[in-house]
Amino acid sequence: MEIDDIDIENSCGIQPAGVTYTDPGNDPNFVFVNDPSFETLVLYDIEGNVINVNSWIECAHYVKGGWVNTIIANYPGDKYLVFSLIFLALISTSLFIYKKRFKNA
Amino acid sequence: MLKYKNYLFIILIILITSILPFSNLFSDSEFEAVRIDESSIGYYQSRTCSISLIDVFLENIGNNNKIKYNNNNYVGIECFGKVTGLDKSLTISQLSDTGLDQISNTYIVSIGTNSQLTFVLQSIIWCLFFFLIRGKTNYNINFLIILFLSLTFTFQHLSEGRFYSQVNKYYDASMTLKNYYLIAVFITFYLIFLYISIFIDKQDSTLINYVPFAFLFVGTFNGKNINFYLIILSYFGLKHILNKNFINRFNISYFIFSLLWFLSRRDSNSFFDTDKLRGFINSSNNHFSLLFWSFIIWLSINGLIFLYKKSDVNIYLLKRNFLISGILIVFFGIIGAISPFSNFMNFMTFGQNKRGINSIISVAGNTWRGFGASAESYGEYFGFIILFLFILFISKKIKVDNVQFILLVIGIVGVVYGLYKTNNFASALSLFLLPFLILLNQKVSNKDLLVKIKIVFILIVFVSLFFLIQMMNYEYVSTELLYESAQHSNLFENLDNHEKFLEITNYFNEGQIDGLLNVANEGKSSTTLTFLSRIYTQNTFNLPLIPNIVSIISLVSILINRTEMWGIFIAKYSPNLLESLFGNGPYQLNNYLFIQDIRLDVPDRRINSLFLPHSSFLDIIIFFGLVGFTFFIVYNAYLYFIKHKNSEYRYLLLFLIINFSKSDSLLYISSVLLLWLVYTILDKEKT
Repeated sequence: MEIDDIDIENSCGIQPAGVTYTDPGNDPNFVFVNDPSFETLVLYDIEGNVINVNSWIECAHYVKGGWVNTIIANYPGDKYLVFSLIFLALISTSLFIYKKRFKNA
Repeated sequence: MLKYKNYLFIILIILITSILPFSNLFSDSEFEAVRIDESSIGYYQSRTCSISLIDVFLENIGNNNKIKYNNNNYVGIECFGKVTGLDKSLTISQLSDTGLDQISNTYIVSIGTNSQLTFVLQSIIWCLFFFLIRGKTNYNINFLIILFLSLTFTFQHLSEGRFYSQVNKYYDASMTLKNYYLIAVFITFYLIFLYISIFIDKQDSTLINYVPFAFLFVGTFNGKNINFYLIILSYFGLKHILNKNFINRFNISYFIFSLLWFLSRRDSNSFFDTDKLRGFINSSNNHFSLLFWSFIIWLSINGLIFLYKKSDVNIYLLKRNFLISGILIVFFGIIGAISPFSNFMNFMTFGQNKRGINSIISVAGNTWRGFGASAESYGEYFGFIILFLFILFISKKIKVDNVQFILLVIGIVGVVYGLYKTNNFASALSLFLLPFLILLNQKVSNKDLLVKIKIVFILIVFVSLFFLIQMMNYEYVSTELLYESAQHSNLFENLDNHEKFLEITNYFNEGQIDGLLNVANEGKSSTTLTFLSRIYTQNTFNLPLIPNIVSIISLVSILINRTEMWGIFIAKYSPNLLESLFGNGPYQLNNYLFIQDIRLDVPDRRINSLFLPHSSFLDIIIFFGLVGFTFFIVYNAYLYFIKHKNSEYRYLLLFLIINFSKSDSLLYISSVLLLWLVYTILDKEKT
C-alpha cells in the first residue's frame, strides 16, 4: 500500500515546522527521541497490536510501515448512536408538540 | 426560582452524565485496573479499550508516580471512557521560582473520548444547566429555524473537513444515507436546537444575568471547532432576522464586508489547528469555511442585538453570579492543578478549549492561567469583577445583608487570589487607576477644579514620558519596534540567524532602515513592515510638535512590554490593500499566520509556538480591517464620551478596552460576551 503525506498527516497530525522525516532503515540501535510537545498517539497494526508513539517522526515511521491509528472497525458504534439519536429526536419532538397542543387546548 | 430539590435533582443528573460514561457500568470487561508504574505499561497497552477511567483513577489513589490523563478523541465509541494507551514520558520543565530544570517521569494515560459521543453528552450537560434559570413557561417551536440551523452547523463538518478528519476516525464527508457520521452530527444539532427553542428561548430576557458563567462553562465541544454559545446566539440571531429585521444599516454593512472578504486571498493548503482558540476560530482558508464563519458570526451578532434589546438586567443577580463564578473558577483551577483526574473532568464537563494548568506553581515564561486557556483573559475577568463591585459599593452604594456579606468576602478573596495568580499586570494597574478616577469624579464637585486636576495629571504623565524617552534615547525608542520586526522577518536568506541578527543591527545602527528593507531585501518583508518603515523614514503623516506615529506606537510597545509580540505581528501580517481595509473575514487567521515567510528570532523551544498578535485591536484589524477597527474605536468612544458620559458603568467599558488593547481576549467568546454585557448594562441603566 502506498502511504502518502496525507495518510501520515491524518494519523500523526501536521508535520511540525523544522522536523524532517529521515528513514532509520534497519539500524537496530536507532532510538526515536521523545518530543515533549507531541501528544502520545496509539497506533495499531493489522493483527490488532498496539504501539504508543511519542514523536511525529516515530509516528510517521510506523504509519509508513503500515500501522494505522484506527482499530479495524468491527463495532458499529456510530450506527447505534444514530439510531439512539433518531429515537430521542422523535420522542422529544412528539412530546413537546403534544405538550404544547395540550396546553393550548 | 426553582425549588431546591429540583436544583439538586438537576445537579445529580449532570454529575451522572459527566461521570457515568467513564465508569465500567456499560462494559463487561474481564480486565481490572492495576497500579500504574513501569511494570504495568505493557498490561495497559495490550488491553486497550477495556479498562475504564474511573477504575484506573480509583486504583491509583495515593500512587506517587506522576500521572496525566489525556483525551483521545480519534477512537470509536467502543473505546469511550476506556484506557486506549499508557506511556511514560520524560518531562523537563523550568521552575520559575528557582530557575532550575525539573525532570520528571509522567505516565500518560490516554482515555477514549470519541468526539461524537462527547458532543451528545456535553450538549445534555449544558442544556440541563439552563433548567436552573427561571424563565417564562410558554414556548414556541419553529421547525424551520431548527432544521435550517442544524443543516448550517452540519455544513461546517464539510467546509472544515481537514480539521474534523483529524479528530474522528469515522469522519466521512460523503452524501449517502449510510454516512452515520454526518447523520449523527445533524440529529445532535437538531436536538440541541429543539431544546434551545423549548428551554432557552423563553429565558431571553434573563440570560444576560448569567454571562459571568460563560467563563466557567467555556462551552467548547470536545473534538469540535464550535462553541455552545455560538449555537445559542445563532438561534436568537436567526429569530431576530426573521422578525422583520433583515434590512438595517448593520446587515447591509456586513453584507458589503462579506462580499469583499470573498475577494481576499484564499487557499486550500493553509490550515490552522486552532490550538487554544478552538471553537471560535476558522481552521481552514477556503471559500466554504469563509461562508460558514461569515454567516455564523452575522447570526451571532444579530443574536446579541436581539438579546440586548430584550434583556432585563438585574444588578444584584449579576453581582451574585460574578462572585460565584469567580470562586468556582479559582476552585476548579486549583483542584485541576492538584488532581490529574479533576483536570481531565474539568476539560470534559466545562468544555475548556485548552486543558487547565496541571501544576499549582507557575512555569517560567508563563503565568498561572489555572482554569482558563488564557491567563490574560481570566486576569481581566477577575479585575473586571473587582471594578464592578467597587462601582456597586462605592458609587451605587448598594447594601448587603450578613449572608451576602460572607459570600462577598469569600468571593473577593477568591477573585483577588485569581488575579494575583494570573499575574496580569495591566489588569491590576488599570484596576488601581480607574477607581482613583471614579473617586475623583465623584468627590470633586467643582468642575473647574476637576478639569485642572486632570490637566495636571496628564502633564505629569507627559513630562515623565519626556524624561523617560530622553533617558532611553529617542532614536532607540522610535525604531525599536521596527528593529524587532526586522529581526523576525526572513531577511538575508543566505545568512544564518546570528549573522542575520548582526547585519540587521548594523543597518539600524547606521540608520539605513530603508536600505535594509527596500534595497538589500526588497520584497522580503511584510507589507506592514514596509509601510511602517516608509512612514518613519519618509516622515509622512507627521504633525508639528508630535512625534512620528511609528515612534509613538514603538514607545507604547516598550512601555507595556509588547515590543516582541507586536514586532512578530508586523513581521507576519502582510495584507494587500483590500485586506488591510476590510480584513480577511471573521475569525480567520490563516492569511496572517501563513502567507508571509518569516524567520523568528526566538529560542528553539518556542519556534513552533502559536504567536498571536497580543492585542485585540490587531485581531480586529486582521478580521475586519482598518475600516472595521475605526468603527470599533469610534463606537466605543461615542459610548464612553458622549452617550453614557454620566454613567459610572462606563469605566467598565474603559477597563475592558484598555486591557483588550494588549491582550487577545476578543478571540475568546466569553470576553466578547463580557463586552456585550457592559454595552447592555450601559443601555439599560439609561432607560
